[in-house]
Amino acid sequence: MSNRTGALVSAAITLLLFTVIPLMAPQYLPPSYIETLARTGIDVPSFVNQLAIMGVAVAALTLVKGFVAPSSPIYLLAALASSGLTFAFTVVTLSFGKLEELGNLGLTSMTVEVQGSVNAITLDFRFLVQLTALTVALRMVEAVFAYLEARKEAKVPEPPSAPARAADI
Amino acid sequence: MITQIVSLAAFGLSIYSIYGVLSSTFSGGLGFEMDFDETTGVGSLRLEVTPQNTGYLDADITLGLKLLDGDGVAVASDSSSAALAPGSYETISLVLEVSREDYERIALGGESSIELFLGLRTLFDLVGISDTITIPQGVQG
Repeated sequence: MSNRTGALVSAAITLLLFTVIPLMAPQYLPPSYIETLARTGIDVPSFVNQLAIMGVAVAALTLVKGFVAPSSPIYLLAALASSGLTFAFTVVTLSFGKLEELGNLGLTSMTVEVQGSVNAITLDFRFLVQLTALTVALRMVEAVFAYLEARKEAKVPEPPSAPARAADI
Repeated sequence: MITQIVSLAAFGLSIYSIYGVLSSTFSGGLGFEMDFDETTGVGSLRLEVTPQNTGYLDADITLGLKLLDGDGVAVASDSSSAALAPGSYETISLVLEVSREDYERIALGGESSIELFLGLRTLFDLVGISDTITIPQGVQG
């Protein structure tokens, strides 16, 4: 499979997983479930849109990487942005799309009021965000090294063809 | 790649453990039992829950119960912790004892609430959830 075909397949899978499925999922959830989520302050349509937008962006970057030479600065920028989006995707998912919680990096609070009782829930997924940050940092370093390697290979001049031997003439 | 797979697996296992313990703790609702000893004048409020760890990771659970007066000051409190290995369960009892004076003060004041705290940590104490439920007087029972 060529780089371009691979990129097309990868972008299609990314679109399906991170854009199509999140956009369609709320239709299959019971309305009572959506109402419960709304009472906790989770704006389901907004959350789904955030995931879908990031899905489109990651798919676009995957396509860019497939159609641009690895020695191109555009390839490096696309690889770095793709890693950054992976981190953003994790933070947004663990914050349930609540913009005011994004800065807490995995420590998400929500309050639900049911029949006069107040239920304050705090989710601590900071470790998973830290693990993702580590992964993303390693992927960024890897992308830089891959780019430098590709640049080096692109600069190596073609070896001169062997001089014709007298006997061949 | 390995870190990503580990991260996903850790997330899935943590969520599964948390969901299992929480659902077993709250299944069937919270049963509060109230008692009043007329000889000593001490009233007691008992809560008994049996959380079960249906997940694959160890989980530490902390339960706390408080009776708050109208000013939000704790009149009585109790808490207990338990470490749940995968597949195990433990019955946790919390008892609040309220003196006659406090009981009368709260009863006359007309405003009080019960605060139930549930803390749950898993994945070697790295992932957790805490839930504080405040039930005002009148809603209880």
